[in-house]
Amino acid sequence: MTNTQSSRAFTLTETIIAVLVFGIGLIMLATVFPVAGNWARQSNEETAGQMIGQTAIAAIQTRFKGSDFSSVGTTVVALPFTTQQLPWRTRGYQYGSLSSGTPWPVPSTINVPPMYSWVALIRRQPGQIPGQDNRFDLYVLVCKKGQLDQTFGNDAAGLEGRLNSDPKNASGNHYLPRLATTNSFGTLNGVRCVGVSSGRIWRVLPGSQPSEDCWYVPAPDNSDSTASPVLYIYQATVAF
Amino acid sequence: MGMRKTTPARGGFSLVELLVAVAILVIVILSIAQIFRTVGRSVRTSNAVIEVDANARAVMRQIANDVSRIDRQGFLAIRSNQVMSTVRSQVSFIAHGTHGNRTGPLDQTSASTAELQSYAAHIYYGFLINPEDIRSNGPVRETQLVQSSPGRLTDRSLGQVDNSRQEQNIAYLGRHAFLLVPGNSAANINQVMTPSGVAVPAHRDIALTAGNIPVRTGGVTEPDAHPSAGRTGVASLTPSQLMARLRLQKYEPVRIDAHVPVYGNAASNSIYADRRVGLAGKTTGLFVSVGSGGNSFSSAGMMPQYDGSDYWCEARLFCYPFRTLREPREGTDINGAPDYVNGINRMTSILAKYCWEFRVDWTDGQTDNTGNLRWIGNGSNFSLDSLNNWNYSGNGSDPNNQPRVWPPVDFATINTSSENAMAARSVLPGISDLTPSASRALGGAPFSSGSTPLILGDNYTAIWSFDSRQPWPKALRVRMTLRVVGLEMGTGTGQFYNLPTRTYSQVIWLPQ
Repeated sequence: MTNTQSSRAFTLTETIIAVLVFGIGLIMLATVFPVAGNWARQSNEETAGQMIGQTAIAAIQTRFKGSDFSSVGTTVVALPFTTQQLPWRTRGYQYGSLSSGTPWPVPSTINVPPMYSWVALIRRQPGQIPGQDNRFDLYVLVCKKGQLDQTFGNDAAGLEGRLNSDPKNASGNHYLPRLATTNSFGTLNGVRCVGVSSGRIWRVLPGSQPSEDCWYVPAPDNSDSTASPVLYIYQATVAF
Repeated sequence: MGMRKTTPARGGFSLVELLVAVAILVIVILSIAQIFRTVGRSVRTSNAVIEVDANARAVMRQIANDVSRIDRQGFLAIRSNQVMSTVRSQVSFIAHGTHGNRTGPLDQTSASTAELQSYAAHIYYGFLINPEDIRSNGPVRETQLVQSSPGRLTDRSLGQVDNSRQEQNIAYLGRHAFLLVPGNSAANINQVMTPSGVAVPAHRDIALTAGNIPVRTGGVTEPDAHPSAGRTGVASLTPSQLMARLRLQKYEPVRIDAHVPVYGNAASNSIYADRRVGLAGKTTGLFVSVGSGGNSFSSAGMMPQYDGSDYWCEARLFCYPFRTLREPREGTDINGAPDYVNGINRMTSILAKYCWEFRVDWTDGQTDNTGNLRWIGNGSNFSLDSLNNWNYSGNGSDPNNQPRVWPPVDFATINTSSENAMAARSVLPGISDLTPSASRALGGAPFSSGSTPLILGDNYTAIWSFDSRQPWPKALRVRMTLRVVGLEMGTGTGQFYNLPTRTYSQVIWLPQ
């Protein structure tokens, strides 16, 4: 009589261990996926920030003259006459390719919802000899909308993509720089801003808030108030 | 009764079980392999994107740095070519400031390692052809321009001809710095004196019309000549002295015959440009100007061989509009020193690989009806008509009704052109050397077919100079498209995947 003993099956413990090992392997593998994308995105944003920042400086140099800043002192203020001298389309940028795959340069020259824009701050550089020097510190706050469906480029009528007026969010607020006082940083965690008195670039963090009033750019519409659109702050000193 | 001892047999896998297991294993392995393939491709693409991003940033920074030192006592020239559907601009200007020699000894035959600095330089940005293009059926280290169809030269760098070698044929964006130094060494006519008084080899690619002086390069006698020949003298000039001298000489034309032999093959209707004795001997690029209009070759017009004579059309096409120095001349300044300047050709050869398009627009600072800057150039809202006028087609009408002749367009070819037409359109005073000349190869012989100029398809060349007194641009807008190229893993023959193009744009303000 032949007694055939059936082979022993995996125990629950073995199965669990095997699944765990396999799962760990998969997780390790999965972590690779976003890394390259993150690198490329960071590089992309840094490139866009720098190029738009430098372009903004050039545009300001082209469109302004020193007398336009006669009222500017050594505290940081929003660039005067921005909407007059530098209308929105001059400051709206489509970067990379459109959905059609056609590469499109910045700044936008067609009416597309721009991905990037910028606003600028200025101050007379401290320590200058009055009447002799005419150097100004410029801060370009390069902004990027967080999602494609955000209406970063709304005009006053709420028509997306119409670039003939300065962008506003859904609440009707311009994306021009806004002043935050030292007692109003509570809702601006993570926001990068520029100190009014010192010209220092701050980042509002819990427990580490700027010790001075700061210029910042409000968040895109319908989004978390802490989601600052400021991608990059480009700083340059220019003599007019 | 003996008990039969039986060994319990282990249950083996059945064939079906094995087949199922193997099939599942194969599927899993293939899935994992696909994951790795996807991840690898993603990483490579990302790395390529990061690389071109970094390249673009560096290039823009370099251009902005150079432009910030532009000298209005010199000139600014913006040239626009169109190759296939891409715009390939060239921009050239005089920049002051300190320009260093970053490419080692100036002459391969010289042991000189003198560090050269110049206080002024002629800067050029434009395309290079990859000199390392190694073709399977042609001479090594040559670049081939192939006539793909009547009326058009195909730049192989566009990958239109041999896709399997696309990575070797992508045109490169380059920078060319022609350092201007003040004078010649008293001890050696083949040397010039740097501002710091160090004698370094002179630029050997400037023809001396008073007579060529053969020099030996690598044992080969070439009809090179030195503008410094027979002159001695200036030890050092301050930057202001140098620029004053340059200004006095008004950047009048000088024929820069870069010794880049360009010769043809009548059988294959192709042109070869040999870089082995190229610009400055050891540079890694060849300047070419490939046109898109009215080009046609006849076999009879092709040069059968290079005989060292006046065949350097390609290089001259590049060099000619961007004259820097006038021909060396006799004479002394008030201090008795020879009143000429000298040049040394230095190149930061390749700035960006896989550059697909490079276009430079300019603005006069005026805005259109919507308040936006008006950009003028190839593909902008301004375009040249057949009468060489700039017509505006942007938002609304031209609000300022600017003179249409601005900017000063030296010459332009719209559809077809001739040298006569180009000369007639010259608006620059003092440059009489644009007079048509049958002996000059600017679109003429031997690359000609009747009166049709060849290898010439400029849309325009706009020049601002100290002499022309034209208002200079307020800013330049530089745009370039880089193509991300990567080889598929495991394929050695050049199979490409996912070739995104990325366009970068930056406005650069010109010092006013």
